[in-house]
Amino acid sequence: MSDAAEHHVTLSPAFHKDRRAMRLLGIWLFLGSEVMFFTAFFGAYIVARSAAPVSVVMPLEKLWGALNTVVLITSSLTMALAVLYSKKGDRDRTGRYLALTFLLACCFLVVKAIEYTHHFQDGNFPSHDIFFGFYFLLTGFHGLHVLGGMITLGILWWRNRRGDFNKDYNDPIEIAGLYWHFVDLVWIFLFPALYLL
Amino acid sequence: MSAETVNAVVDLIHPEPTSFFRKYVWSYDHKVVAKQYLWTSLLFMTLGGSLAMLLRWQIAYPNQPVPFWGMLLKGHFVFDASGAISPDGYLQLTTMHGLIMVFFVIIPLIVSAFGNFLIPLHIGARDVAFPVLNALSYWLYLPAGLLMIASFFMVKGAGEAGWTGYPPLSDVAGAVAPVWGMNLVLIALFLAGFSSILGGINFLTTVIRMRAPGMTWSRLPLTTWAQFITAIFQVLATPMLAAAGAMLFFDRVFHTSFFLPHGLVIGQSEPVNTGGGYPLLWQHIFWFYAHPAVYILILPSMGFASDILAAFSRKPVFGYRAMVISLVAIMGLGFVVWGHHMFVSGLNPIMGMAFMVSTVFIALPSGVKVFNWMGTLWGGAIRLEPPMLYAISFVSMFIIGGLSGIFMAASPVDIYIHDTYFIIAHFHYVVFGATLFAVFAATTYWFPKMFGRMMNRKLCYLHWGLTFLFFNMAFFPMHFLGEAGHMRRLMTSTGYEFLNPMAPWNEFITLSAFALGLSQIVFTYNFIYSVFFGDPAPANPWESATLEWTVPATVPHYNFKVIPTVYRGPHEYSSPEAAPADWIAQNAPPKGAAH
Amino acid sequence: MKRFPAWSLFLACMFAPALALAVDLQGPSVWIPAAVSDRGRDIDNLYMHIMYIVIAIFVITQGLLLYSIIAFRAKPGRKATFTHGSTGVEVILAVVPAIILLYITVASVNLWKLVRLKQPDDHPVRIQVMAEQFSWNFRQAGPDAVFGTPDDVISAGEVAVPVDRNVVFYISSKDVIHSFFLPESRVKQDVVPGLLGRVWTKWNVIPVWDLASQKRVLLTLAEYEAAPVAVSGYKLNSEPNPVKKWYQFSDSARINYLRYHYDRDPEAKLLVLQNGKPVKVPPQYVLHYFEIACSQLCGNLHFAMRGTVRVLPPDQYEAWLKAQQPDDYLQSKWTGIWDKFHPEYDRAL
Repeated sequence: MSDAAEHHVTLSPAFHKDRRAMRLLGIWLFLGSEVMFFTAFFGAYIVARSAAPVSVVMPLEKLWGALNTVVLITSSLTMALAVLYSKKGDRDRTGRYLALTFLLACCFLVVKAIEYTHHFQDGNFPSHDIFFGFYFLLTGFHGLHVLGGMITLGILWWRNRRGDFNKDYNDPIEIAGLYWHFVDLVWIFLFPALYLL
Repeated sequence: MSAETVNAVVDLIHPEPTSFFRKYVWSYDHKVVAKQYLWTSLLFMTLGGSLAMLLRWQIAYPNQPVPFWGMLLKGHFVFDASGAISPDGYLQLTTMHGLIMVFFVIIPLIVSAFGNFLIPLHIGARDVAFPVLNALSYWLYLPAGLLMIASFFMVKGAGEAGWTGYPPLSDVAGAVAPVWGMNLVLIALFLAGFSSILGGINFLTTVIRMRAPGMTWSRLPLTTWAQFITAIFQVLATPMLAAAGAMLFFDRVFHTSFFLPHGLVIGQSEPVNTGGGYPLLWQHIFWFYAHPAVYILILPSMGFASDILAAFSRKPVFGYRAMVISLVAIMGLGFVVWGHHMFVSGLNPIMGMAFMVSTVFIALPSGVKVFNWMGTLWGGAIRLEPPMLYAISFVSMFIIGGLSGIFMAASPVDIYIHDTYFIIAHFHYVVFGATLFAVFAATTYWFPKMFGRMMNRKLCYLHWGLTFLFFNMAFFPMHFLGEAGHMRRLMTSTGYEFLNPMAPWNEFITLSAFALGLSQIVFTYNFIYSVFFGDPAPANPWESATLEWTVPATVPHYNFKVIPTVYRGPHEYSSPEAAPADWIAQNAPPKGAAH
Repeated sequence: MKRFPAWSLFLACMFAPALALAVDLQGPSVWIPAAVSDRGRDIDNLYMHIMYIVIAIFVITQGLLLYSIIAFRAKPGRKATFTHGSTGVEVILAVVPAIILLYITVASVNLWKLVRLKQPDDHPVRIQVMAEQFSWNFRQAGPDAVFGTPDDVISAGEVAVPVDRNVVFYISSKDVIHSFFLPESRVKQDVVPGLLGRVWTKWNVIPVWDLASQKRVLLTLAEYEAAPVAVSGYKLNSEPNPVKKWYQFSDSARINYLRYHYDRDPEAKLLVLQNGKPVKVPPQYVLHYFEIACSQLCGNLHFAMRGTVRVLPPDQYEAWLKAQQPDDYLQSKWTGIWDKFHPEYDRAL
């Protein structure tokens, strides 16, 4: 981890500013790439849905989906707060909000697992029909992104506890925040596309 | 960014490694990563080329046992019990040759190897923006490549649905024999794609944020400009391939039906997949990636050629601004021409018309580049050193590849030549003829900087002559095969009466291809010998003006002791400012400056 | 610096394609098989137009490249011109190609409309094509002009069409993507499972085999009527061509270059027609066929997915339709797959 070498050294604010700009550019490019990745899935889904009979509605339980939407939006808020407090140099609160975000992400995955179990019990495997294929494809890859985000959050929480971050140096939390908002945003698209339309 | 900051970044991120592991294996040094890519992709090129030799044997001498290898591996690999190539084996050869050459040779070679090596040196930086990511992208690429090789050892062999992997053939169980061979290929492509995306992010950030003071956008060497545009393609297009591959993987493993319509019957049996998907969906997503990928395969080469032609003509590049604009135009148009791969695929003919128009006009920026290369040569003082000879061959071959492309852009003509050897000739002229000649140019040109030694000139000339001759002998007649309607991916054409007159041409091509393959031994020998025993190179053997030549022949770990300040464009050869010399380095202070 | 006369080698290599061209062939010296339909000839025309343009550009650009290398070689005392380019030249070099490309685009769009958008509506012969790994199935509607009825004419691997009439093929696949390729008609269309594609063409020549020269020749209907043609009693044979070329380095590695010829079939009844009437004279020609190829990779036996299309005079076409006796197996493919899974394919007609 490049940052591991950095935290031992006190660096000038100018350095952090330049490095931060690079990192932000990097993560935005990465998110651009991610957008294209999900665009392919969404595009394919739109093609499949628009060609299907109007009456076809995904037989999903809207309540679970709505619950997960709330959970993720809340986690976005807690993540934003973690970024905010890390910028203020408030290590305790940063840690608290990182942990809270992590827990909410856990919640999200647990709800998703319950939903998946229901689908499997009903015999709705990915191979059931094209819509369940898309459902598992989209939520599966989104779930993987949530999982990746959770690992990142865990590492950040631990590093925050160790005292890696301060007022001048908190880019990793900010970057993780951007990523987390993106994961949230994908769900904001997924929920209506899969559960409501 | 201030020079001081740049120094700090690199000092902190990777101090000069001392252990072997950190120096050569998990290295953060862009030059070492570049060399890792270079060696690995050259190894893969040997593999991909050997596969091509085998399949050429089968086309020229259908069902004859392959000498030596067929005897040795009877009944294994791609051979049948008699030592000839089996029908499944033949398709595996074509498929893996294509995939390996595109994803594991050309892209890593021209983008990752040369991009990694040159971008920081060109822009006056001490490393790329994210050195860890850089190491990671190599270590994603290598296992991906190993998975590709491993797929040959799966039951019933590697993927065999063509490099384009059109479903349902690549998708539904029973359409082709291999099962896990194909799955491994998909996983490998996913990893390689991820590696490619990480590389692209790295290059973009590096070029945008880490240019040395005075290195404005209009002073970037064209190689770096080309790499920059390529990186945009990589970041925005490659995820499409990953998505398509993921969907195909779902179809194959979880039996979804994204690309499978209702009512499929394979042989006598209906597949377990329920259907409801669209085979053409794959083609749209795939070509939305793969057409930009075609430009990933050629743009860096255009960059090499631009810089090398200028350096050896002792002239500035003709129309630097037009060169950059045409790169940008290619990028923009490159995203809206994917449908020209689908003129006869069942695409709506009206859409086909729109794609034809955009396709015809993407020829314009390429044309501008060709004319500008010729303008660069015009009035120069041309030194026909090996890199120059290779670079001029690049232009020459690219012209042929570009011109044959016009036939395909005209969709009514494409109806006839689509999926024939005309296409094979076209893209080998572009990807082998043009890109590989540019790679040879780049290798011979930057070899002194990479390894601190010179390559043997005479052997370079010999290799160039043999390659140029046999390349044209191998690939030019493929145009004739295409004109005769000879379909591609055909294990043998003997079954078709209308192709029978073309059999001698097939044999001629095969013999030329063997000679072409053997000619590469000259280069391999020259390369490996020179790495270890070549004459020690001076810091700037070609009297070039860009920044990489201002550092010592064996580039120190941090490239630049002091981050240079740039005062002028990359190709100020024969400038009055430089007199009496005919070149002036980008960082040489102007006369009368305070220094 | 020691000067290497590399340009001379370059010059020599420029002619490698020409060298390759000079290698004599055993087949026809022109590779493009003769077009057998009006649209096919249009495509060839466009092809040749582009070819002339391309050859001109090729000669100019490669010539200039070569000239530059020779004329502007570094010599002691020679100094390169210091210039960053010229906007005027750039504009000209962008506008001139743009005009040429515009010409190609307009020509292509016009032809594309004819080939792909304007389906003939003058009661064309309609044929359903179902591709499978690795053969072609054909169905014609029969006397009642309705598909999916017992009087359908079903065949596999071979189909007959009348000369001088528009033929529309409705193509689909039962398994993977194939490509329906009629080389001489310049028709090619991917056959996609789940999609019904349409291509059309009109053969205006009849392929026959000239017994004297043992070659295929193409006759118009009038020419066909005037000549004695065997419609049965001959069979096609092939044998490896024994000719050995200078570059064939070993006998074991001999290519399977086949030579085809028609022989009298002693077991079949000989029927020779001239002006529509049986005659007793020895035939000059035997009825032959065009080939159908699959041009999209469709599996391990892709190379063997060949079909034939017999272009026949009207009377022979009717006779061919009557002679088809499909077995239950072929019939079941149509009723069990095409009609079952895609009933709309018949309605779409």
